[in-house]
Amino acid sequence: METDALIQTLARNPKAPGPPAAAWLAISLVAALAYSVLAILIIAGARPDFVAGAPWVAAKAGLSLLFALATAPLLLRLSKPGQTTGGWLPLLGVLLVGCAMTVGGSLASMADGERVRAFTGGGFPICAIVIPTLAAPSAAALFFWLRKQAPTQPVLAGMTAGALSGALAAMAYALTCPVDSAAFVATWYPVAILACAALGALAGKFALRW
Amino acid sequence: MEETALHALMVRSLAGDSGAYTTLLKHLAEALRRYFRRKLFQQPHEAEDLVQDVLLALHTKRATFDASQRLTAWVYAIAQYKLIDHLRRSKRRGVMASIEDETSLFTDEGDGTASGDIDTLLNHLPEKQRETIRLVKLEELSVREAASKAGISEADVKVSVHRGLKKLSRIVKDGEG
Repeated sequence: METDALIQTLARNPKAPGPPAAAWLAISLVAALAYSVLAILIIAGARPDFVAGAPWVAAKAGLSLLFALATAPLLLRLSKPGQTTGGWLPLLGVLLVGCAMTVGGSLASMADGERVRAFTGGGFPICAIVIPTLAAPSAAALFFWLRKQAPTQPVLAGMTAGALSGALAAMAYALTCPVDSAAFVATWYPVAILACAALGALAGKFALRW
Repeated sequence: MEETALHALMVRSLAGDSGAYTTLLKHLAEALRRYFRRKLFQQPHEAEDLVQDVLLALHTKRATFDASQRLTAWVYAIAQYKLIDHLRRSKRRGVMASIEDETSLFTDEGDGTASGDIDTLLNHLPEKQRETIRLVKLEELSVREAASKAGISEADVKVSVHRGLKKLSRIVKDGEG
C-alpha cells in the first residue's frame, strides 16, 4: 500500500481507543492481589497463630508492598515509549541495599548458634519456590496488559512485571509464612521477588516484541 | 514543524480530529522517511516499508501517548525501536543505528534522500564503474540501454556494475568514504 493511502486509512479513526492504560493496570493489580490471597488461603491457610503474629504478618506484607509500590509506577513508565525510568530503578536498588543491611545487622547481633536458624528459618526456605509459583498467573496477567502497551525495552519491562507479580505474591504469602526472623524475611522475600524478576526478564525478551 | 505544533496536532487527533491526524501523520511520515533513508541508505524500499511500519505502530499504540510528554520523544522511541528490530531481523552488517537523541529525527539538514551519501561513495570508484552503476542502479536503465548510452558492450556493463558494487560494499563495511 502506498504511504499516503495508509495515512488516509489511519486518519479515519483518530480517537484513542478505550480507557487509559493506567486504569487497566490498576484493575489487573487488584485482581492479581485478590487471586494471590485467595490461592494462598485455600492451599496453605493463614498461619495458626495469626492474631499473635499479626505484627510480623504486617511487617512481611509491608516489605513486599514496598517492592510493589516501587515497581508499579516503573512498569507504567516502561510501557510507554519515550519515558525515562524516572528514579524508580535506583529506588529499587535502595530497597535491596536496605534489606541487605537489615540481614547483616540482625545476624551480627546474634549469638553464633542462632544465626543459621535465623537465616534459613530452620529448614529449606520454601518461600523462594512458593512465591514465584504463586506469582505466575499474576505475571501472565501483567504481560497480557503489557502486550497491549508499547514497551520499547522489553527485557526491562518484563523484569519489572515479574518483580511486581512476585511482590504481590509475597504480600499474600506473608499471611501463611511461619518464620518471623528479620534475617530470614529480608533475605528470602527479596530473593523470591528477584527470581520472579529474572524469569520476567527472560520472558520479556521473547513475549513482549511488537 | 516544531514540537509544540506537532504536540497540539496529536492532542487534537486523539480527541477525534481526522484533519489534524492526517496533517500530523503526513508530517511524521516525511520526517521518518528522511531519517530512515539516512540510516538505510542503500535501501530506499526498506526505508519506505519501515516508514509504513512505524506509522502503523504509532496508530495502534496511540493510546500510549501521554499528553504530558514530548511528542517527538514518543515518536522517536517508537521509530528507534522499529529500526533496531528491523536491523536485528535482517542481521545486516554495515548499517548501524547510532545512538542519538530524538532531535536527529526532526533535523532538516540534508535532503535525506541519500543521494549525497551515494555520490560520496561513488567517487571512490573508477570512472567506468561509477558511470555504469549510475545508469543501471540509479537511473534504472536496462543493461542494453546503459551499454548504448555509455558506448560499451553489454557484457562490459554487467562486469563493471558487478565489480563496482563489490567494491562499494567493501568500502561500506570498512567504514571508509
